[in-house]
Amino acid sequence: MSAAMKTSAIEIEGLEAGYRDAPVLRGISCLIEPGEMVGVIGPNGAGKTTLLRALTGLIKPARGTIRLLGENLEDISARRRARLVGVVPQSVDTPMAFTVEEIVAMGRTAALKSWGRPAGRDRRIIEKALVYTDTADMRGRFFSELSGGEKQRAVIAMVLAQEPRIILMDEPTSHLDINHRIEIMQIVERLNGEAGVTVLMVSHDLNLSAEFCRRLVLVHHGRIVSDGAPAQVLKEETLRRVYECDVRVQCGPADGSVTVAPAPRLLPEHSGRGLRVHVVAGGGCGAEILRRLVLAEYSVTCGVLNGGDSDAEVCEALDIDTALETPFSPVGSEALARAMKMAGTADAVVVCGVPFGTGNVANLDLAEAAARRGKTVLILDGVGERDYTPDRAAARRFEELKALGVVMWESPADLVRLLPSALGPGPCLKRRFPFRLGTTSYIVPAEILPNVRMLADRLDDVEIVLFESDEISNLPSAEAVSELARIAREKDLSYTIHLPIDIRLGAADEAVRRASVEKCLRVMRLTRPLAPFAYVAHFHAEEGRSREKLPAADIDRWRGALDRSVKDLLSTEVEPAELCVETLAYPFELVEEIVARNRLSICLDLGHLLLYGYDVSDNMERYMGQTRVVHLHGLAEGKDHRDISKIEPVLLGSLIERLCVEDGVQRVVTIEVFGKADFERSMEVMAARRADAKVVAAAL
Amino acid sequence: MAAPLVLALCLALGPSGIGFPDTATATGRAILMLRVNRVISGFVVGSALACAGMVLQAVLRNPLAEPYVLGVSSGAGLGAGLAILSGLSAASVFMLPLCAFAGGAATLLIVYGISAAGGRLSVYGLILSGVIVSAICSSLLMFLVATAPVEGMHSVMWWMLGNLQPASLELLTSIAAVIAATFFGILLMSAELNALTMGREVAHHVGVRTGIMLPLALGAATLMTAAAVSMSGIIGFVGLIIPHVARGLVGADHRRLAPAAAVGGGVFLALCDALARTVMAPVEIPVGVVTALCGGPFFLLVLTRRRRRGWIG
Repeated sequence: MSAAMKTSAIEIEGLEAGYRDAPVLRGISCLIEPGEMVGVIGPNGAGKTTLLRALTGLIKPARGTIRLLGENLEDISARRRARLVGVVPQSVDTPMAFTVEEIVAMGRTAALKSWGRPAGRDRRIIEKALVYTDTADMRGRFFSELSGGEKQRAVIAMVLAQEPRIILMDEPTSHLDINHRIEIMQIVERLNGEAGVTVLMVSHDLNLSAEFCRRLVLVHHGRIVSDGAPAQVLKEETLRRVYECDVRVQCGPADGSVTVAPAPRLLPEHSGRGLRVHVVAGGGCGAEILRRLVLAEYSVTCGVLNGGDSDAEVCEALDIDTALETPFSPVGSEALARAMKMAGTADAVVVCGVPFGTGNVANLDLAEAAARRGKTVLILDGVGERDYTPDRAAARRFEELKALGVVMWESPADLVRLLPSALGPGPCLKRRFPFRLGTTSYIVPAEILPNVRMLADRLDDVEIVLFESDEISNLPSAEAVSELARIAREKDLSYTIHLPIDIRLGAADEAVRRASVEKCLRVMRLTRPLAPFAYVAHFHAEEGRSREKLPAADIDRWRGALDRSVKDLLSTEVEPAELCVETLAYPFELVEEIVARNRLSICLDLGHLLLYGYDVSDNMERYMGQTRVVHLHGLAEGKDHRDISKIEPVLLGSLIERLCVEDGVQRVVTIEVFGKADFERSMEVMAARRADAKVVAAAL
Repeated sequence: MAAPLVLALCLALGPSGIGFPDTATATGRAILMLRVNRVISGFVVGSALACAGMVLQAVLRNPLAEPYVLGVSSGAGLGAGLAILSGLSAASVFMLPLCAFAGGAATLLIVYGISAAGGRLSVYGLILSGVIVSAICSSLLMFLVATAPVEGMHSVMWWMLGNLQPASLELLTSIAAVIAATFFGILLMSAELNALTMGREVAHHVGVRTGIMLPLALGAATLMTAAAVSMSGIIGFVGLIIPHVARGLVGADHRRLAPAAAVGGGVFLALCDALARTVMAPVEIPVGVVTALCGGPFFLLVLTRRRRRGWIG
C-alpha cells in the first residue's frame, strides 16, 4: 500500500472465522473508510456479531486479515487496540455497585499506569465524555440502578473515554424504547459527524439502520450479500430471500428515507381458512411448509409418506391427515389411492423439495392428476435436480408438469405468499387506478375467451395479442368476437389489440409491406366490433432485425415505407390516436417525426426500454404526453416479459406516480406477462402500489 | 483508623488473664511474645482471606464467591491430612504447611485445567469444576480420616477447625512475606479487576489482556488462600463477608477496596481470635466459630443498612 493512499478505518480481507467446529464467517471482504457510519444487518445467525467479535480480537480469524487504520489486528497490543476501537455492547452489567463516574473511568483502564488514579488529562477526558453523553448529572449514581437508556449512555461515555477512532456497536439500542433508541443514536450520529469517529453498528432494526447509516452491509450465511446505500440494500426481493419472510419496503421519494415493514400476514386475503392443500413431502423437507400452512389456517393433508419419516412425525404432531406407507417400502397402490383421494378434494397440491427415487416417484401422479384437472399445483423450483431415479423419470415428469402450467416457488415464505393468489381469485384491481389496468390474453394456457372470462372481473383491460401465419392463427371467430364484446359491455372491460408481431410495415420489399398492411387491416376489421381502446403496432422492418437498434439497412427507405403503411392503415375508419407505435429496439427518435406528423399515439414499453438499455425517465418525459398505452414487464436473466416485481421499485413508483397525474389523456397500462405466476406476482405488486397511487391522487 | 487500637486491645486478651502481661517477668515476656505472634498471624491470615475473597468475587462476578470456592481449602486439607497421617509433619514445622499449600495450589491447577479445556475459560465452568474437585478432595480426606488411628484423626480434625497460633516464628514470617507480596500484586491489578466485573468481553474491549489477567488474578487469590490455610487451617466466613462489608464502606473501586478489605479482614480475625481464647478460658473455642457467631449478626446489620453500596443484583 502506498503512503499516498488513504488508510481505511477498517479493512477486512477474505475473513473466515467462527467457533470450534462451526465456521460462521465464510469469506468477508470489506473496506470502511474513516468517518463512515455503517450498519451491519442480517438475520439471526448470519454472522453479524461474530464479525464484530473478530474485529475486536475476541475470536481469532481462521483465515484472512483484519487491519484497523492500517495496523494488522494481530500485531496490536491490548492497550493500543483499546485506543483504536471502542465497543458498545447490547448491554453491560456489573454486579457491583460502581458509580457512573467509576464506570466511565474504566474507559481509561488501558491508558492508566497500573495503580494510577485518573488525574490531569485522563480526568479531563472523563469529564468530557460525561458531558458529551449528558451523564454528568448522574455521575454519583450507581450504574446498576440506572434505566436501560441511562446505562447505555454511561457505557457510551465509557467508550468515549477510551478516545477510540472506531466505535463498534452490537445492537446498542435493542433493549431500549423508541425515545431512548433515538437519543442514543443521535449521540452516536453526533460523534460520527463532529468527531469523525468511524462507526460500525450491528442492528436488527432495519429502519433505524436505514435512517442513521449512510451505508448498509447485509450479511447472510457468513457472507456479504449486499453493500451500499440503504435504498440499494433494502430491496423487497433481497430481504424476502435473506429473511425468508414477506416484507414491504417503502421509499419516501421526498426525503430519500427507506422503511421496511412486515407484510400483513393473516389478513383475510392471506388466510387459508376453508382451503385444502395437499402436500407431497418426505425426508424432512416438508416440515417448515407444513408448519407454515397450518399456521396460515389451511386444511392440510400430506402423503404418501413412509411411516417413521421425519415429515410423517411432523404431520402427526400437527394433526395432519396423512396417507402412510409402511416404513422403508415403495409407495404402494393402496396408499397412493388414499393420497389421490386427499389430493382430489384439495384446492392445491404442493410439491416440496423431495429427493425422488423409484420408491416415491409415484407421488408425482398426485401432482399430475391435479394439474390435468386444472387445479393449482405448486412445485419447488429446482426440485428436478433431486432426481435419483435410474432413468431420470422424475426430472422428465417435472418437465411435463411445467408444460401443464404449474406455479414454481422458491422458499416456504414465497409459497405462503403465492398460495392465496394462486388459489383464490387474487386481488381485484378493477377501477382502482386513474388509468385502465390490464394484462395479456395469455395468462393461463388456453384460448383467448377463457382468459378474458377469468380476467374480466379483476382488471379494466385485456390486451389481445393476435398472430396469423400460414400454419397457425389465433384470430378469433366472429362468434368469439361477439362473445368478447358481450363480456366487455357486461363487465366494463376494454380491449387493446396488439397487431400481429410478424408484420413488416417498414419492409423494403413493397410486396412484404403490402401483405403486412393487409394483415393488419384484416385484424382491425375483425376486431372492430370490440371498439378497441387502441391498436399497438411494431415498426421494425426486416426479419431478424427486430432485436437490433437499426431496424433496417436503409433508414430513409424504411421511414418512407412506414409513412406509406401508416397512410394505408389510416385510410380505414381507425382514428390516428388509436394507432400506437410501440417502443422497441429501435431508438424512438427515428420514428418520432412519423408519429407526430400523423398524430399517432405511442405505446411506451417499459420492459423494452430497460432491455435495450434506453434511459427510461428520459423517454417517459419526452413521450408521456403522446402515450396511450404503457406496457409493464420486468427483466430477469436477460429475458423480458417477467413479473413486474423485477422492476426497480423506485422506477416503478415514479412511473405510476406520473401515470396518476391527471393530464386529460386516458391510458391503458398493460402488465405484459404470459403466465399465471408472473401475472399474480405482478398483481400483488400493483395491489401494494394502490396505496401510493391513492396518496398521489389525493395530493393532486 | 482504629485498627492499631483494636490490635493493641487484642494483645491484652488471652487465656492467662485480661490485661497486658507484666514484661518485668520472664513468663510475662513469653506470654506477650506469644500474643504478639498470634495477633500478627490473625491479622495476616484475615487479610489474606478477605483479599482472596474480594478478588474471586470480582473475577467470578458472583457475590457468593469466597476463597474456598475453587476447592483450594479442600485441596489444602487433603494435603495437610496426608502430611499428618503419613508422619511427614513431624519432620519439620514447615512440612505440614508445605503439604497443605501444595494441595491447595494443585487443586486450583486441576480446576483451571478442567474448565479451560474447552478452549474458552468460563466463569460457570470454573465454579462448577471447583465444586466437583472440592467434593472429591473432601471425600478422599474423609476416607483417610475414617481409616486413620484415633490420634491422627484428632490432629487432622483440629487442624481443619483452624488455629492461629503459628508453629514457629520463621513460618509466620515466611507466610506473611508471601501474603504481603501477593497483596501488592493485587493492588497493581485493581484497575483490571474493576473492568473484569463487567465481564470478560467488556474488559477485553477496554484493553485488559483477559487471557493473562484472569489466570493471574485467580493465581493470586489461590496463593493467598493456600498460604493462609497452610498456616492456620480452614477459617470460614472472613473471606466471604469482609469484602462485602468493605465494599459497603468504601465503594466498589478495587483501588480503595483492596486496602480496606485487607485491614478489615486482618483486624476482624485478630479480634475474633482474641475473643476465642479469652471468653471460655482456659478452653479455647475454634476461631471459625467466633467469626461466624459474633461477626454474623454485626455484619448482617451493616449489610442491611448499606447494602446499596455493596452488591446490587
